[in-house]
Amino acid sequence: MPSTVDKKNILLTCGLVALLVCTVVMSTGMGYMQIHWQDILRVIGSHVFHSPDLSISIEPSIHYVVLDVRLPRILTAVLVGAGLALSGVIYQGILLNPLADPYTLGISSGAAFGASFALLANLSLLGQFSTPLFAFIGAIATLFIVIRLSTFNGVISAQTLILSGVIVGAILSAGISFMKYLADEQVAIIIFWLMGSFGSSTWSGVLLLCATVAFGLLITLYFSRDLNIMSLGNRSSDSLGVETAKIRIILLLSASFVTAICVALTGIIGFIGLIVPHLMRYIVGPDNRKLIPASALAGAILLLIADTTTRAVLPIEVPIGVLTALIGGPFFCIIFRQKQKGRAYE
Amino acid sequence: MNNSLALATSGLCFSYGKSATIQDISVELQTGRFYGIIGPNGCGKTTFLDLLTGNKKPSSGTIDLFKAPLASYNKRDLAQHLALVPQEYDTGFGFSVEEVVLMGRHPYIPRFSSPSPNDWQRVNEAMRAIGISGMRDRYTSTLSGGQKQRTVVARALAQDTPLLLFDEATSSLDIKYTLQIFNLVKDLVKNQQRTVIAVMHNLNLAAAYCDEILIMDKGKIVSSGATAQTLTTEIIADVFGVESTIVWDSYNQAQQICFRYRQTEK
Repeated sequence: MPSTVDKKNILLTCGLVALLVCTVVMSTGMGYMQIHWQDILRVIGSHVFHSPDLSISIEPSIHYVVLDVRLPRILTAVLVGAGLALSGVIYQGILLNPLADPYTLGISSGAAFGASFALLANLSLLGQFSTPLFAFIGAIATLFIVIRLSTFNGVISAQTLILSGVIVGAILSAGISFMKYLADEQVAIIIFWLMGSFGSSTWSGVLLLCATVAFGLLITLYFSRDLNIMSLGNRSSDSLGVETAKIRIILLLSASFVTAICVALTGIIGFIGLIVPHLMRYIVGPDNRKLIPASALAGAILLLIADTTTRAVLPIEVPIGVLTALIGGPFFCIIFRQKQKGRAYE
Repeated sequence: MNNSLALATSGLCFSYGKSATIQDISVELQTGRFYGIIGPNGCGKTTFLDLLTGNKKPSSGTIDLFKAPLASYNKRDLAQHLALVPQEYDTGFGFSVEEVVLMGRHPYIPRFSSPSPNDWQRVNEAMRAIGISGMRDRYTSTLSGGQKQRTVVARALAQDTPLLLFDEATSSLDIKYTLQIFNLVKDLVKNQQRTVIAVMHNLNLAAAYCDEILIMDKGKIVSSGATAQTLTTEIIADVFGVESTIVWDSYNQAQQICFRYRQTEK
């Protein structure tokens, strides 16, 4: 049966990869200083292949803008978009709730709380990794509390899950506000970081994100067929030979890890993990083997377009977290209405 | 004729919190038989099935499946021996009927592999047997309760296991499909020596189809044996607290239980 379907899927994946590459190149050219795409390719090429001849006619300032200013930011946006969308697929798949994403579950707030704590307390046990580490601890603790709050008689209630996420998120936000109040001078950095910002992206951040997202993607793809079957519920998936309890923990920890690293580096960027899996489910269907790569690619493209819009198109730079919330919030309302009508996945 | 053990439990107990929900169940179930479990709501029938599928771990006692301890099976092995049609189930994020039935082949398909022609054959056979081939491309989220239930039964058939567990598998089916599924299952028992353990609420269906009946009450098996000897007005009054009379239904060649709609003192 599925050979035509698979062909269609390969075509779609290739299309998304091509679109991502085009978006990256176009975004690199956009901004205060317009750069032609051929120049961008030559600068990147000369750097990657160590052949200075390729870009001999290009001004050094363009080198600097492309390699040190724009690309780290652009690649950060790409990787964070992929990571958040990936986490969204996992949370929605495991918790069987189309409204679940790192933001609505309060995981992002938990990570932000941990990271703010590390920033303010000036914790540097592990050098530059102490903020991501504390973000991860915050994310895991929040995940545990939210799931515990919404579990009755061993069953996670879908209705109370998001409610618990919102409540815990609100408490954590208050905690973050309190820390900001205590922060004095550093408060401006924290406020801007919390709203989500790619402005201070670095190549070392890109590498950390790259490793994290690759790890998340591999783990999720490895368990993707099990994740499909887990959508039938505990009893069914257990009786179909899936190690439900073990895989659920592995995937939830992985998703929280990916979320925590994204938040630690760029602040809270909401709704990407909610919107993207939804859109992709309409296009590729519910099969996680197709949904996971498609969502990661689409998340990367969407967040990059959003960031480029605020960086190079809008007259003032709106924080990216504010922009995604402004677009994603109404989308959440639509899904919520459809879910109430019980036809979110027709 | 055949007297090989499909399933044996010994001193099986399970407690949830402080209260014991399963108390000291010891049974020996033979292959090629149709067993019915009946009992009032909340008597531990589903918990008993959960223990048999390994979904819950017993607090004491042993379970042997085809003469090997249940714990010696890994999840995949177990799923090749035992299929479950659960009472409650999700149908996921809108998979199609065919995709859900194909999930029954999960324990046989290696990771990162595609279903083999044999897998597809089993899936098609199961859908044809249940009569859902015509809706193979429909999304499960658009199905009625009965259609979903038939899809789940087809999935369990595709799993092709020697032991089949049904937890109230026909609760949302009309009489035609209920009979269709029980006839089909009875055939599997008779012709392929499969073993079926079905939790049933409809005592007349149990009387018509089961070779043997296990009657549960308050976490214990209070009576078991051949259907005709086990289903008596006394035990029905005792366990369910309703008056009844049992007549021979020559049309079906089975016992027929008539209930009196008046509560007896218990």
